[in-house]
Amino acid sequence: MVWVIIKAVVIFTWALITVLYITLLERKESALIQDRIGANRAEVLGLRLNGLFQPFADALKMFFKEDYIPPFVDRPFYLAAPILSLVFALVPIGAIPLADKLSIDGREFSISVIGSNVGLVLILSLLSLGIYGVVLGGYGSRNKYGLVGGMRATAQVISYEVALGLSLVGVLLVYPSLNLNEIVYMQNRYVLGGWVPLWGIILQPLAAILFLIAGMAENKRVPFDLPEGESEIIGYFLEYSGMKFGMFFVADFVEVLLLAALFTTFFLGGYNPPYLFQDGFHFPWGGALLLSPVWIRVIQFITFNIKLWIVVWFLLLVRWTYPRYRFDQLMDLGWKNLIPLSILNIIITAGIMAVIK
Amino acid sequence: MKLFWEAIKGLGITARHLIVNLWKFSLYYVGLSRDKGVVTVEYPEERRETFPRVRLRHRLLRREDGRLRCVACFMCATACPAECIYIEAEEDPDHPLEKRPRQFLIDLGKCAYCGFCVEACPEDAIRMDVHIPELAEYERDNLIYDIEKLTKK
Amino acid sequence: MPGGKRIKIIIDGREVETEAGTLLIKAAEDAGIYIPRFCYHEGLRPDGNCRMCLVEIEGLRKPVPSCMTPVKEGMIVRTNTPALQEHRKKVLEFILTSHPMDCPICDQAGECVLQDYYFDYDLEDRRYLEDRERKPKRVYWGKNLIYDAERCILCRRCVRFLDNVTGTRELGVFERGIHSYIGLFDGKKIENDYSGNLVDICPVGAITDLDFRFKMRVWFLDRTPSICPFCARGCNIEIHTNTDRLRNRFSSQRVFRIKPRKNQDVNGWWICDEGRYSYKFIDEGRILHPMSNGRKITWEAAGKKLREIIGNEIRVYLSAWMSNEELIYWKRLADLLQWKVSLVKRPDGDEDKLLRVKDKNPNTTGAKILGIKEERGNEEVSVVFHFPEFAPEQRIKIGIFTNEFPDMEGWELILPAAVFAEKEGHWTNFQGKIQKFQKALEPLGEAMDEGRIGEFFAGAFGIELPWDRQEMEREFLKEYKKWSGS
Repeated sequence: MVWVIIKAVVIFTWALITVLYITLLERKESALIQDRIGANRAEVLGLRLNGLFQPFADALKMFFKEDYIPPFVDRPFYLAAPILSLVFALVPIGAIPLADKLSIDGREFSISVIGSNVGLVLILSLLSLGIYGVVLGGYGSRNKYGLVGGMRATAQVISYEVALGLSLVGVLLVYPSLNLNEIVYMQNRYVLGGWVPLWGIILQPLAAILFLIAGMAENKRVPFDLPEGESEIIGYFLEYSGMKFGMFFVADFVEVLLLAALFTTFFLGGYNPPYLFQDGFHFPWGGALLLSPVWIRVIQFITFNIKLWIVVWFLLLVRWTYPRYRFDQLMDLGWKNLIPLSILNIIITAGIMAVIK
Repeated sequence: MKLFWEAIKGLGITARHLIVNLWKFSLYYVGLSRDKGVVTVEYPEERRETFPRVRLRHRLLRREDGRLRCVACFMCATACPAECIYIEAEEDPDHPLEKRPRQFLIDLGKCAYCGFCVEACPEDAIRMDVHIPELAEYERDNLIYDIEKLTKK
Repeated sequence: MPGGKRIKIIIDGREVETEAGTLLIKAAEDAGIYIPRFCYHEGLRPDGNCRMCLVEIEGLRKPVPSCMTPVKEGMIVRTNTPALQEHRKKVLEFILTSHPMDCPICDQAGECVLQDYYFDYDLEDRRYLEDRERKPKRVYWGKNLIYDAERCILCRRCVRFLDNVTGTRELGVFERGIHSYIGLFDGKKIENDYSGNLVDICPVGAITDLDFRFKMRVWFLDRTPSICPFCARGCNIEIHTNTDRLRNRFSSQRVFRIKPRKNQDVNGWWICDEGRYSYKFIDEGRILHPMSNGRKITWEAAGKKLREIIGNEIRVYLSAWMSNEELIYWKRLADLLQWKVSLVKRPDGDEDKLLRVKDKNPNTTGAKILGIKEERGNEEVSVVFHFPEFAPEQRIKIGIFTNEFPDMEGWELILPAAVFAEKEGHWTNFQGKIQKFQKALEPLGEAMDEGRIGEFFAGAFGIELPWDRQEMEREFLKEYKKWSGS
């Protein structure tokens, strides 16, 4: 139990710091895409480092802003919404393995907060719960724009939840396990003379694309940001300010992190870099580099982070490239394209699996 | 399908901007290049060059003998559509030009920067060639500039 | 020559009826045709030296100066032919060979006829290449007069004014040709009582007024017709004011100068220097709030104070500076409250043959019409208008004053009144003429005009007597008819 708490603290701290720097990446990346520099003024002890400390300045600002609660709101819902939103975004991260299990004195020791055997189902269910934060935020604000924003969010998230789940079914068919660690193990196999890893993105390319699109829609970020639409159509957090708005804001980026982590786990071979096995690297050209188990875990953790950041980078690139969908287009994309395609993917995958068997 | 390729192309454009700018700016940041790559002007340290004809804060000019060029003819105050110029004239006892301003105030809070005063001046005594755009004050009254502030370049 | 024979002439194709012997320029002006001029002035004898007013008369080979030509039956005159315009252009060019281009520092700019004519007829660059003639600038002529010989166009209006009107003859033309200038005769300074008029009649900025010099450009001034209050003549004046918002933040001066208004029956074209330069009291040293024993109080508190004196014997000392309407209103009020009424006024002063009369108050006649007499009483309470020096000692003193005076502590109540420039009304001058003065300014501070103060008194004593100036004007006219009929 103590270990779980320690792991929780360490891993969620890692997650939140990563999230802070995702915000910085977002600012810097968008700036460079638009030929700007981006925030570079935050200064610690005379060091600016082109804005490396900006996330902390942002966080401090959020903390010290006036915590204003409009007089007309439905207080319990209003207060609960941002917390729910953040918690349901953060908890699934605890189920993602950041490195392989470690055996110390004969005890199995997973490098994730929740070493569950049904991690995938857990994550999907928690993701579905995240909608409560949004809906309660819109409803509790007692503001018609907020409410409409919340309704849009519900419709959108529920629609894409289907596509998201169905796209993972294909993955499950290829890697028949609900345990995320198992899925990662099963991706660490190599074909074509041991050169190409059997990652999800290679076995299930269509599922990868569908998962990415559906995941972005779940995130409610730019091409799919109808529930928020900060500057134009106004979303569910209209009546929020200060730290409460900050929580929504952080939840947003935690979801980005979560999506990237899930994509890494399901489609990019998880924490394993290519050619790393239980006892060290075994390269296809015949070489081998044997390492102690702890070093292997360290390399796995670093690899996981690198993959994660690449996916985050791509997500932000998408976010700063496309304009927003119209709501009917959004629904068309979800129900008429993604879901049929994911069902198609399941049928084809299942057929191929049946033939191989 | 065409839509899909267009979407990929779009990603390519943003990615190209990102990578090119990142490369250029990184070189600039470590001092290997003078090309910043981005359009940002980092304002307090860097300034964009103002155009020579830009109209900013006023300046009162002096003659060669140090006397103000202004003879308090009120032409600028007459031309001023914002009525922001206040002049008090007085006799200049020792100079062949008999008149000089005792007080010359411009309420820059009211000024519309139209430049009519410069056009109207028969003595070329007022110009708007101080290329300083900063005019922030905590008190409105601090924006009323007197001769001392107006003669500073 | 009033009462002369009526004759008909034709000016610019229009038939004009005028008196025989009138000067052509005057006849044209009366008919609404303005002939440009520098030296001619209606109030002075014509001189014909500027050659600006030349006109063509049918039958004459050359143009003639209209200011020197009396009209003749059947004359056909043209005032604005191309040839005449060309001629005027030449006159202007000749004047401008030596006139300095210092309009920016010249006080006359904006009301300078040379400027106006230049824009009307000339608009050409200078062709004369020699240097301008250097002459003395800033010559002090006495009183408020500053003479600038360079700007002078030698029209001799000033010389003729001092000869024809005042008869003091301080000025003459000295030197010859381009070197000539107007100068004082040896040992003389201009010290007559009408010197300010020289500034008005000077067509350019050669004579400027030390009092007005560089204070304000003339085009910023609002002009309000009014009546001079400094003697019973009631000269017609114009009050020139500027109440610009930014200006009023930094300077309390609102009235900048007094100019005469032409009224043939009263003052002609002139006013005296006392009337011209005594406007300072309008802006300086005014009482801005009701006062009680030297302390500032509100109008409400003043009303309370007033109610305390009900029941006492009261005498109201109305002043000869109040308008007809105010006098009749206050007389009514006093009758209703059974107060005694008497008159206070400034003591008599100098007089002369031209304009100034002995009585130094604008409305003594008005008070006389209403039967308000100068008498002193011994009542417990006295309400004194305008002149604190008339208050009986050792009694409850209530004053309605415009300007501060030394011992204001001794007064139970002082109410701030508006000066003549801050209200409108009528005065009756010593000839019995009723003349209107108009409101040029808002009352300073919390001051009110005497009619409103009367209403305030009525309210304090519970009487319904609204102040309606036009109603009072009609009432006064009834009284006036009775008086002038008798």
